[in-house]
Amino acid sequence: MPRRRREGTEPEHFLPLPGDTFDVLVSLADEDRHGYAILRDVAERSNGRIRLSPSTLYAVIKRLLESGLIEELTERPDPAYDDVRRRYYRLTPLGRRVARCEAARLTRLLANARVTGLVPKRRSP
Amino acid sequence: VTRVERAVRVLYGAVLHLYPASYREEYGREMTLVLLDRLRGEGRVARALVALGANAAVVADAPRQHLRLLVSDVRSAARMIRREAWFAAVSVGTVAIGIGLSTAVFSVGKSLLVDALPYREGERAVVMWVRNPRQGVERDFTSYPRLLDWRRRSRLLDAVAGYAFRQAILTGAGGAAEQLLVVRATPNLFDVVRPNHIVGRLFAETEEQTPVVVISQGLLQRRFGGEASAIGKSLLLDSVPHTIIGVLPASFHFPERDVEAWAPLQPTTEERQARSPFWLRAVARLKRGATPAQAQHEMNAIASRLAAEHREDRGLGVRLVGLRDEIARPFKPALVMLTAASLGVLLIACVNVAGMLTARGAARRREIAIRTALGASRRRVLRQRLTETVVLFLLGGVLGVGLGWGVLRALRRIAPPALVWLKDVSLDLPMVGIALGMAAVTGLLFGVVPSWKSAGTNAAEVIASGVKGGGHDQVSRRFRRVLVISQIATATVVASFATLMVASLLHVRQVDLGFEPHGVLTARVQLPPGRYPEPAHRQQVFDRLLERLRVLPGVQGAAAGSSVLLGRLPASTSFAIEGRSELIDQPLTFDIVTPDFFRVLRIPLLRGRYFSHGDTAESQKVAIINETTARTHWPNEDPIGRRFKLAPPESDAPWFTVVGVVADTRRAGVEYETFTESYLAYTQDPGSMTVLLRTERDPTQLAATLRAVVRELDPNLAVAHEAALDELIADEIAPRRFNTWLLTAFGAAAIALTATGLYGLLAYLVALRRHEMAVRLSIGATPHHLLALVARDVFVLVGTGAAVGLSGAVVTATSLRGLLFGVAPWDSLSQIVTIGILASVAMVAAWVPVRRAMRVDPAGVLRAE
Repeated sequence: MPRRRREGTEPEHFLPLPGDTFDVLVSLADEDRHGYAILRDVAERSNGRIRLSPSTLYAVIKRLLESGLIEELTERPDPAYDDVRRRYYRLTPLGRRVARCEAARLTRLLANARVTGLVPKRRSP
Repeated sequence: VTRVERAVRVLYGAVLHLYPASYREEYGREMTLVLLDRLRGEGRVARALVALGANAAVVADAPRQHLRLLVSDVRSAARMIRREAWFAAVSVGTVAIGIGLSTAVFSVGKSLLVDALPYREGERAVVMWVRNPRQGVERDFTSYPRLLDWRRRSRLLDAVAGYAFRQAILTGAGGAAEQLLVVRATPNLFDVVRPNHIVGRLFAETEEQTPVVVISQGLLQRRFGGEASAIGKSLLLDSVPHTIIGVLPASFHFPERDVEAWAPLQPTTEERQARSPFWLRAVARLKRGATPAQAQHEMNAIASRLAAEHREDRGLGVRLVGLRDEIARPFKPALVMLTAASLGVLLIACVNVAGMLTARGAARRREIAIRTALGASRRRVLRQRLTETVVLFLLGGVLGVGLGWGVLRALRRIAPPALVWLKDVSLDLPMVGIALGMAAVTGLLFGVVPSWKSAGTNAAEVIASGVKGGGHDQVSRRFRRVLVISQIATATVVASFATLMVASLLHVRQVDLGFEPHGVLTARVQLPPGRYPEPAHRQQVFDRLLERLRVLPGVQGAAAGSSVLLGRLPASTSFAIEGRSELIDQPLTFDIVTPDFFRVLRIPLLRGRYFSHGDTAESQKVAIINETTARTHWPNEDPIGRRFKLAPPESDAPWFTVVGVVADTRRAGVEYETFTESYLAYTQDPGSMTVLLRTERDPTQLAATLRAVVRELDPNLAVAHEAALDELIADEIAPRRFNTWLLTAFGAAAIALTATGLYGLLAYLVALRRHEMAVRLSIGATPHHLLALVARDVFVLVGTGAAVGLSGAVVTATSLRGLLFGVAPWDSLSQIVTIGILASVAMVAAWVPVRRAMRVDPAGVLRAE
C-alpha cells in the first residue's frame, strides 16, 4: 500500500495541480474567502468561463484541507464582510509555496512553447 | 424567490444524500448556501440549468467521495493489521477455517445439485420408475411391452428409452479376455442423454437388432491406443462380432462410470412379449415446455389405463424423477449433514471473531473516544470499524478459498470408490465469488454489533475515567457471554451428531454378517455363452475349475455361486407354494450355488442338509432357504420337504423341494434387512459364477494363480473383479466411514474454535475481576475460592450452551436419522460422550485463566490502583 504524503513535504510533490485546485489556491492568494466568494472570484477572473459547481468546489476544498494546503479560519474575518453562516478558508504557507511552484511551472511551460513558436512571442516593450 | 429557494433546498438536499453521511454533515449545508447564492439574480432558464447542473455534479462526485472514504478506511484497516498483527492473524485464520470448510462442502453440493449434467439439455432427462406397492418396491424396473406402451401413449415425453446392464466378455482387439460392463439400450437412448460431442455416429432408429457398439474413450484408449481408426472395426462381445460405430467423450458417463460400451438392446422374443418381469430400466426426455408435474400427471393416467387393460399392470404406478435428482438422491442426506456442520463451524468462527472484536473495541475505547471528541461522528467511526472488520473477513475469505481448495484436493484423494464422482469436483470461479461474498456478508453481520458498541462510546465519560481500555460496561460483557453460549450450543450440535455417526459406524462394523468374509477371495468367472450351450458342459467347466483350485497350496475350500453379495435389487421373483392357490408377490431371491458354498462362507445349517453331489440335473430339483423365508412362509411348520416354484401356481414350471434351512446372512449389505432368499443347486442350472476361495493367507495373493488356472482351463473364459470378500464389504461401508470422519473433523474444528472463544472470554472476565479478586484475597479468601468463582462461570456457560445444544442436537439427529444406524437420535451414551468431550475441552480452555486468577497478588493489584 502506498504511503500517504506526509504534511510538510516538498511543494513539488503536489505538482502538477489539477486546474480546479490551482484556481481555488489562486483565489485564496490575496484574501481569505468563503465558498461562494471563491466560486465568484474564479468565475470573474476567467470571464465567466470557469463556473465550479458546489460539489466540485467542496471536493477540492476537502482535498486541500486534508493535504494541509489551506485551512479553515477559526477567528472571523473583517466584520464588514462576515457572514456567520459561512466557513472561511485561508492559504497555509505550504499552500502558498505549492501555488507559487505551480505558477512557475506553468510559466516555464509557456516559455518553452514560445521558444518553438507554438505561441506568439511577447512583444518587446 | 422563496418558493424557488425552497424547491432547490428540498431537491438538492435530497440529492446530497448520495454522499457519505460524514461528508454531507461536513459540507452539505455550505454547498446548499453556495448554490443558492449562485442562483441569485439569474434568469428563470439559467436558474433551472444551474440547479440541474449542480445536482448532476453531485451525482457524479458522490461515488468518488465514497471511494475516497473507502480507500482511507481500508488504509487505516491495513495500519491496524500491521499494528495488531497477532489479533489480525488469529481472526483471519479463524474466518479462513470457517470459509474454507464451507467452500469445500458447497463446491461438492454445487457439483451435485447445480452444475450441468454431462449431457446436452440434461435438465429435461427424467428417470421412469415403476411404482410396485404389491412387492413393496417404490422404484422398480419395467418390461419391454410396457415401455413401448409408455412411448406410444405419452404426449409430453419426447423420447422414452429403455436399457439394461449386461456383463459381456470382450475378446480379440489386442488383449486378454476381459469382462466388460455393457449397456444394452433402445436406439433412442442417446436422444435422452445426448453426448456433448461424439466421434463417429450413434445408433440409428432401425438398429435395435443390429450388432453395433458405441464405446467409451477409456476403452478406445485401452484396446486401440486411442486411435479413431478403430471406428468401423469389430469387437467380440461374448464371441459375437459388433461393429464399432462411435466413441463417446471421457466426460460422458451413463448410467454409471464403469460402463464402457453401449449396444442396441436386441431383445429376445421372450423379452419382447412378457409384461410381468421387472428388468428394463427406463429414461425419457420431457418435451420442451412440459413440466415434470404435467408429465407425471399424464403418466398416472396412462398407468391406470394400462392397469385396466393388462392383468400384469394391476396395482402398478409410474414415478418420474429428474435425472439430476436421481443421481443426487443417495448423497443428499450426507450432503445436508455436512453443509449444516460446515455452516456451524463458520458460525462458531464468526462468533469467535465477533467476540475478539468486542474485546478489542473495549480496549480501544479511549482511542475512539478521543476521535469522537475531535469531531468524528458516530456513523463515521462505525463505518470505519465496519470496514476494518470486513477487510479482516475478506482476508480470511481469501485464505479460506485456498484452504477450501486444499480440503477439496484431499477429499478427492481419499474418496472411496462409491464416491468416485468427487474427483470431478473442483473449486471454480463462481464458487470463489460465493466464498468471498460469504466472507463479506458474515463480516458485516458479525462486525456490526461490536462496531456499533465501540462507536457508541461516550467520549466524555471514558476520557474522564482515565481507563485505558478494560471495558467495564455490562452490555459488552453480556453480549460476549451470549456469543460464547451460542458457540457452545452450535459445537454441541455438531459434536453430538458426529458422536452419533461414530457410534453408527461402530455398530455397522459389529453387525454379524451371518458368514465369515475374512480370508475369502472372490472372482467373477464368466463363460462365453456360445461356447458352452449345454448346462452339462457349463457344469463340467466349473467342476474342473473348482477341483483344480481346491488342491492349490494354502486353499482350504473352493465354491461358487451366481452371486455372493446382493445388490439393492437382486435377482428375485414372485413365486408359488404347493397347496396354496395364490401367487406370492413378496420377491424370493434365487441363487445357484455349488455344494461347498455354505461351508466356504461358513453359513450354518439350521435344519435338513446342504446340497450334495447326489443333487444332479436328473434327480429331483432341490432348494435351500434362509431362516427368514422359513419363518415368513412356513411360520408354524417344518419347511423341509415342502415344494415351491418360481412362477405363478398355474404355470408348468418345475417344483423345487426344500431340503435345508440355513441361517440368515446380510448378503444384501450390512445396513439392509435380510431378504427372503433361496438357493438352488448349481448342478441343475449353472451359468456364470462368482468363485470363492477360502485361504489360509492373504487371499489377494492367490488372484494371479486363480487367473492362470482359469486361462489354462480355457483362455476364452473371462475373470473379473478379483477381490478379498472382506474388502468388498469394507468398500460398501466406505462412504459411511468417509462421511463420519469428515463430520468428526468438522466437530473437532467446531470444538477447538469454541474452546478458543471460551478461553478468550474467561481470560477477559478474570482480567476484569482482578480488583475484586484482590480485595477478596486481602479479606481472607483463599485461591480456591477464586477457583470456585471462575469455575462457576465455566459451569454456567458450558451448562447453558450444552443444554441448548443438546435439544438442538436431538432435533437435528431426528431429522437426519436416516444416516444413523443402530443408535436412536436421543442415544444417551453418545450424549454423555459429547458432554464429556466438551467438559474436558472447557477445562483445558479454562486452565490458564483459572491459574491467573489463583495467582492474583492482592497487594500488587491494589497498590497499582
